[in-house]
Amino acid sequence: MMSPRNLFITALLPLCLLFMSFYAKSTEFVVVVNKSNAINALSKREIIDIYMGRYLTFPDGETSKPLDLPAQSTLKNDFYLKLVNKDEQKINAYWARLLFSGRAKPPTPSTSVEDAINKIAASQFAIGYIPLSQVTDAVKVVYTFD
Amino acid sequence: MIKIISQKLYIRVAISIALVAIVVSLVSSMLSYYSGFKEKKNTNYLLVQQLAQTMEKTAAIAAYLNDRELSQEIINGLLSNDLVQGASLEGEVNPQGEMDLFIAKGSTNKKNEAVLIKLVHPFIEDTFIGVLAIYPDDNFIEQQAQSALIKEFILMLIQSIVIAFFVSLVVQRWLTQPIQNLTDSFAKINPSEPETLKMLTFKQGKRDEISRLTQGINALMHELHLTISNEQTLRKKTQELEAKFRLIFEQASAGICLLDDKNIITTFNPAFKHYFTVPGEEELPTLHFPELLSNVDELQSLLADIRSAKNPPQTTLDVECKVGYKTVWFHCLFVRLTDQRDTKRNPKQEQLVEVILHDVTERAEREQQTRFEADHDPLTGLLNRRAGENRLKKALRECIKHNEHLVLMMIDLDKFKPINDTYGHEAGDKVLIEIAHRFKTLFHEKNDMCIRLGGDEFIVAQQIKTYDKTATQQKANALLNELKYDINIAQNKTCAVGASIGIAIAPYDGNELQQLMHNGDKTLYHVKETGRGKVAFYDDIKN
Repeated sequence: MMSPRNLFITALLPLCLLFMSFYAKSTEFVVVVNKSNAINALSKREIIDIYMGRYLTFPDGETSKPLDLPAQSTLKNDFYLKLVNKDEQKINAYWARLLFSGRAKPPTPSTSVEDAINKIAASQFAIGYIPLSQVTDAVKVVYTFD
Repeated sequence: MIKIISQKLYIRVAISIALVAIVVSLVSSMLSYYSGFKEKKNTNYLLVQQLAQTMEKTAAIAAYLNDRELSQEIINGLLSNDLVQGASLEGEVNPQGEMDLFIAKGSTNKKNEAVLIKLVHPFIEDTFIGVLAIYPDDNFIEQQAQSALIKEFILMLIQSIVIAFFVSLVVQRWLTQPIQNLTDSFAKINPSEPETLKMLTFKQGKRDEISRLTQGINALMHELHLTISNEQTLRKKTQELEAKFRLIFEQASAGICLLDDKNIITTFNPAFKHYFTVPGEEELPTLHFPELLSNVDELQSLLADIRSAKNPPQTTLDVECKVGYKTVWFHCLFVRLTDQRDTKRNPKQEQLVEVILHDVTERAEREQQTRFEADHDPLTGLLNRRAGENRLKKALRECIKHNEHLVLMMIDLDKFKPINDTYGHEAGDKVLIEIAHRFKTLFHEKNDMCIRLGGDEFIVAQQIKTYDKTATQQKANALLNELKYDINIAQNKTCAVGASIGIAIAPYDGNELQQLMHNGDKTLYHVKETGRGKVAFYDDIKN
């Protein structure tokens, strides 16, 4: 006969740990642009349109150059899950579908968050996403995920 | 030709089956065409829908990206499908009221038949960013349905024809051929020739309807054969018999005839006709039998008698009748006939009478001659003694019965013997013949009798109603005078005789002939004794 204590240890504890680990991994992202960019804020929809290749410009007509975090990184995966509720694989499939039709292009990959911040800071048209915790003054936050 | 063919049962069966099969396959094909067409249309609609669904994601992306190349590719891909006759992809209407994307190809007119798929935003649910419209190709569906119909129809037709062929084969094998065989062997039978009433052939041991029919026919024919054979034998016998009877009837020397109820001759044979027709005439003068025999009263009563059941069924009668100018005697045999067969059919029994006639004229004449010869004196032709006495007896009875009188004259010739002696018997005979002739000339009434008693003795008698002595006297004297005339006995040679007459009158001079004759004789002797050549009455001399 299993005691309540044993039950907790054998069944509920791993579940609690698993839940806590997910919770701990969930990163809060912000979308940032070059400080000189006229845009101060973007809607989630505008971000989707830019990242999924619908528009190649910001809403004000300036060219936009979206940046991606490194492929197969938790951050990239989390971002897309938050943005369009799709994981990285699905996003990759989406781009693969569009590979031959030509016009839309996937965001330019960056090697790390720092690299992304640097590229944004360097380019007026760049737009990227970074964890909230790593925001610097070099970039301007235009959108924060709830 | 067609008519001949169509008269064959199995071909007719086959043609009927084939016709019905064609009609049924036509109707069922049409039905299946229409239902199939609808079904196919639905199926195709579903297929098109599925097609649209497979393209939905890509189309949504294309619409999302306003990507003309991708859209064109999608539309081209859809149109390459046979089921699709047209397709269009339209994007969102932007805030300026313009459509960013509109790609269409093929026929896109029938809006109501189109499969419309609302394209969902690939990243934001519940947001539509365009419409994909696909137009199913009805013509293609129709063609498919039609080709399916034709295929189905041809298949059913082939099936029908095959079935019809095999059914006709089976019918021909199991039904028509046996019936044909039956008919053929039946056709050889001629009912009028019993020899052809042979058994029809059939397969032994088979128990199907045709075999049973054949057996039935055989049994029937067997019976028929027997019946017909019997009938024919009987008929032959009857014919032979009839020929014999006919021969008897036709060739009979006797006349045969049948009389009906009214004594009318219904049937007669040639001999009968021959009896009653005068040469040169064809028809019988009358068919009424009693009239034909000119003896109506006697024959009618006789025929009525013979028809009565209490009398014997046969009787005979000798009838004298005149045919033309000839007098003919017939011996008739009358037979009452009762036709047994008629009694059943005809409750009123018909009494026929058969009459068989023989011409007995010759015999009758001969009889008459014989009787005449027996009754008469061959020399003078007067009644002889025996017949004369009989006649006198009869006359005397009648006289007494009817209160009449009989005058009896006993006559003896005078001077006859010398003539006989002188001139011979021949001359005597001549005298006697002449004397007899003179008697007959004077006494020729119906009730007069002239009798030669023998030699030169005669009696002349008269049956009279009322007796008048004077008249009798005169008559006797007249006779005497008559007898006295000369008689030629040879050429240029004459002689004369006289006579004595004694008269007795019945019933005054006797009731019996013997007595009367005796008294007459007495009177005659008295005359002879008292001088001859005179007449005397018995009542004058008896006292």
